[in-house]
Amino acid sequence: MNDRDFDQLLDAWMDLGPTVAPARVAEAVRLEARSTRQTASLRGWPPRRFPEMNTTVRLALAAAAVVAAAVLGYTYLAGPRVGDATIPQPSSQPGASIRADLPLLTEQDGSLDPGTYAVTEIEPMRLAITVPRGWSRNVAPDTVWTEDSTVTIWFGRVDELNTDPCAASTEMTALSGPTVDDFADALAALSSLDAQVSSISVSGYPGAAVELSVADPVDGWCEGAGSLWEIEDVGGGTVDMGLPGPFGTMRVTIVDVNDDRIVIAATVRGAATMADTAGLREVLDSLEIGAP
Amino acid sequence: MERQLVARAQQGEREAFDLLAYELVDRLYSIAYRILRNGPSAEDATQQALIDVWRHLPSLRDPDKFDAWTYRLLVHAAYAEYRHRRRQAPPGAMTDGATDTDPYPSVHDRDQLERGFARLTAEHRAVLVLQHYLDMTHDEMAEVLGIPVGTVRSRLHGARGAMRAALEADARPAVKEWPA
Repeated sequence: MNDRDFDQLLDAWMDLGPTVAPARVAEAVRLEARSTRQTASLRGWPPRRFPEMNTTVRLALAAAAVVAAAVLGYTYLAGPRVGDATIPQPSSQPGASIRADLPLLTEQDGSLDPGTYAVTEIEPMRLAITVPRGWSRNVAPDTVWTEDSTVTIWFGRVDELNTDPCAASTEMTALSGPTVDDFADALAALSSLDAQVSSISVSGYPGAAVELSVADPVDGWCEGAGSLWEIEDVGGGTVDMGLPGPFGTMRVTIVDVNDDRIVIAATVRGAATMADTAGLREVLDSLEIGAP
Repeated sequence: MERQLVARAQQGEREAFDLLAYELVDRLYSIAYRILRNGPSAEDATQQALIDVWRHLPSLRDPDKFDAWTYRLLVHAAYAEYRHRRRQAPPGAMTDGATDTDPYPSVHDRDQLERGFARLTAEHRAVLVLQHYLDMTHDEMAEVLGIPVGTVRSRLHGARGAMRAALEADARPAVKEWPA
């Protein structure tokens, strides 16, 4: 069978099947839309500024973050808990120098060769990560995973949060403001989750790391929506950033890059192996943020 | 007409969205069915996609891209539904398969195509449906899926290879699995 015949066969096969939806679908949509609020447009956000923070304060905070990062990094590396991830290594200069010839993560699909990749998912930022063997890239949503999907890392921005992720509703609430603390505080206030917040620095940029775990994984685990926030892709589609699940953890790294809040969210499911979490440490340790 | 409805629905007018949904539902269901090959799953994916359309319309920056944006939401919903069913369905669960009323392709070819399709990932299924059902170009598919054109081509290559291999396999009873 030549290509033309094969194409015609696929065309004909695709034409088979229903072309009319059962009436109940439209009716169900109409009813559900009645009880579903539209999300607010994000276009109206004010410029992200920290008018109260002068250079001296910033330098002091950065220095404090370096100390905190070192202490916490030791804690995470030495700790036996499954799902822990080390915080990214601090850098003395704001903005890393990222090689221009690195392969783009966006151009990968499926299994990744071990090595360093440029991450351009957070436009116009340029980040770099180094992945060990056994990781792959998923394109919908844009994430990197271990092969068994127990550890996932997503890069992006978050402006809305489901403040009650265990509720049946998936309604999102706009964060109170654009700072790192605004997001970290909102995560720490989530019901049903324990949160540990620490100051960090990535490539010299100040930020916070929030470690989330289910407060009571046996009786308190929710079977509800479990969606923390929505991931918006380039074309406008959305998928949910879910909770890590019972006995899992989530490491949310929030960084202020010249008043732009970026988020690197690592989800570690309860089934993750020590090798998986070691891989996550490697990836997060390697994280660099280039100067815009 | 559709652009006006989109603009009105973006402002929160539910009646405009109802009309939009009625215009879209058959088209979206047809696509979802072809990706998922299962009626109830296609219904769920279509319903989820339309609710996502309603929820996120205010963030749609360019109403002229409404169709591509909607397709993208549908494909995402189909991906989610595919993975959800894959986790839940017992081994050997049946797909609906195609109707038996059309004499072409042959029953044997249809069985083999169903068999090959059942083995594809959701991502590979989507590119085949966008190309062979919606007649999209590679550029259009890249926009809908939010992936580079090169990735579209590589997925199509893999998907077509798998389908061709299934078609050319020896005639055997079709294995109806969800999704293999």
